[in-house]
Amino acid sequence: MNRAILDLVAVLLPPCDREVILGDLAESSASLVSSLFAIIGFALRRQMLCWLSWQPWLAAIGLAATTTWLLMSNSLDVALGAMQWYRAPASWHYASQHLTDFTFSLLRLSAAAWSAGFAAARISRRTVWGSMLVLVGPSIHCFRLFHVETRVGDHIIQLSPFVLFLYLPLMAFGIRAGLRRLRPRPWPALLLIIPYCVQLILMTKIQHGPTFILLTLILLWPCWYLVWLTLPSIRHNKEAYSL
Amino acid sequence: MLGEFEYLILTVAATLDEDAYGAAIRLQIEQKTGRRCSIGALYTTIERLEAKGLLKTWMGDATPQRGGRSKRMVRVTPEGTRAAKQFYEAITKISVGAAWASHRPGAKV
Repeated sequence: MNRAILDLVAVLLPPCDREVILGDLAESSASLVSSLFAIIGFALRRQMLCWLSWQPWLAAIGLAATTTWLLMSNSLDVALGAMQWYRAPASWHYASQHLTDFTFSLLRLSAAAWSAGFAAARISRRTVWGSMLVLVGPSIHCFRLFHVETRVGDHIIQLSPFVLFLYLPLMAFGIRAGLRRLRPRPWPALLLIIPYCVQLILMTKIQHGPTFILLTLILLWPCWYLVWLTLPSIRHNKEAYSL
Repeated sequence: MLGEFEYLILTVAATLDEDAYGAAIRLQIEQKTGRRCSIGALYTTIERLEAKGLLKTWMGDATPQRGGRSKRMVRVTPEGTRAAKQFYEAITKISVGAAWASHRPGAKV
């Protein structure tokens, strides 16, 4: 029983440390409580030491302060697009238009969420869960204040605040790829940015000025980071993997 | 210049020689200094010393006493020996004349 509890808590440690620490605790015949303190203390100390370098701060603050707003906006677009497509009056013209809007918004969300997760895990893999907590903070704040209604046909529908977190499952795939140190190839990386470029071109014609475009390009920094990783000089130095 | 705890780890690892691994080093430090040595402090310091090139570590054999889990073996590198020697000499020189070191041979009274 004790061993099962310790094995469970030891998941906090990286596999190589886990083996050694659990072995040391077994050898010293430490009690369950002192073993738990030792494991948790070690995990906390490791985390704190990681945060002494600049990478975790870039991954956490860079994402939380910038990308999280874009991700929430995209999640909202996807939810509204899905609602319009699903509940709009039956008309082939409107249905195809709504489906196109929905597909583009889903592509944009996938690109931004995947690349944000990938960048966070790639820049600082040991603190990726800390980065995610910082990133989810603004979403939780907005969750509390959320009130969005949309008109579909003759009905007014209030959206659930949970739509703000639609980016999380897609981001999990990016985190997984980043933790496995997958190396993106140039074309898939560029494909992630294309949906945004299409959106920017369309918006320039409608109402948004150059400031908006510049802001969106800055918010897309995880996508640019992905493209940067595919550059030949970077690729040459490290082992190449497919996306 | 080494820190105090870094010096303790290097010295105990050098003393234990082939038998130097995490749990043994921890036990020796606790017995000889009378101070508690946490696993977290021990392994983060070992990692730091390894990053500085003063220690080398590798995974050793698993034993039944450890529940079939491997040891992290430790060996002091020549750079580690030099750094520990420098620390020891500095401490010895700077302690000459201090009240608590006055009984030592060669110290000024």
